[in-house]
Amino acid sequence: MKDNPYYPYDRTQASRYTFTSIGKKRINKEVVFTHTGIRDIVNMGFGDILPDGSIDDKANSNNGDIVRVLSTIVHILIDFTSRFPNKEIFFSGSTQERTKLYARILRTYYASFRKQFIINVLIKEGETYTELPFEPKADLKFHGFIIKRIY
Amino acid sequence: MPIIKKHTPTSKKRKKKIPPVVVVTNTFLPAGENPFPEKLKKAQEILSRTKFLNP
Repeated sequence: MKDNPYYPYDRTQASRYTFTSIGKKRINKEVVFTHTGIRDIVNMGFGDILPDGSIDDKANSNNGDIVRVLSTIVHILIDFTSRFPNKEIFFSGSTQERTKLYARILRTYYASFRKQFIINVLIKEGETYTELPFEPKADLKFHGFIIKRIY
Repeated sequence: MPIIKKHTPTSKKRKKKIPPVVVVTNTFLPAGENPFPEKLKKAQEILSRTKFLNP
């Protein structure tokens, strides 16, 4: 995934990145990392910047450049984790469908991702969640992902 | 006869180009300014009930 073409991005704050998706339309996007206050885990949020400056993380823009957009996010992740290597990054989809999409991408590019990141998943067991190492062949319902940079 | 002042290229005053100032802070966005409050809340809710591999 990181070898695919990607959009140039701006980093105006340590935890805030923006880039423009250029497909059928030009869509400004933002990736934001925020401390969760739990361990050293940072939440990664991602969405479209709306004209009023707010962010829509549920938008399904269908701009025809999903691979390039996701490749850009991977590059942003690499940049962020190279500056904050001790942070763990949590992310999940804004919908279950989107979480499934992220799992599909992780499965597809697992061989490449595992060279740079430890990838763990969260599954639900009753009222609690359990962190497990990501197994591409495991048929489980994931509720989130935690990744950490390998050095 | 009027004196004609010759300008050589070296005598021209050149404006100094000032590079744009880009300020990159190394601090995280304050939680109050997070544009994804719902997502952060959901993450905190999940993580607070998570059994981690390395507690």
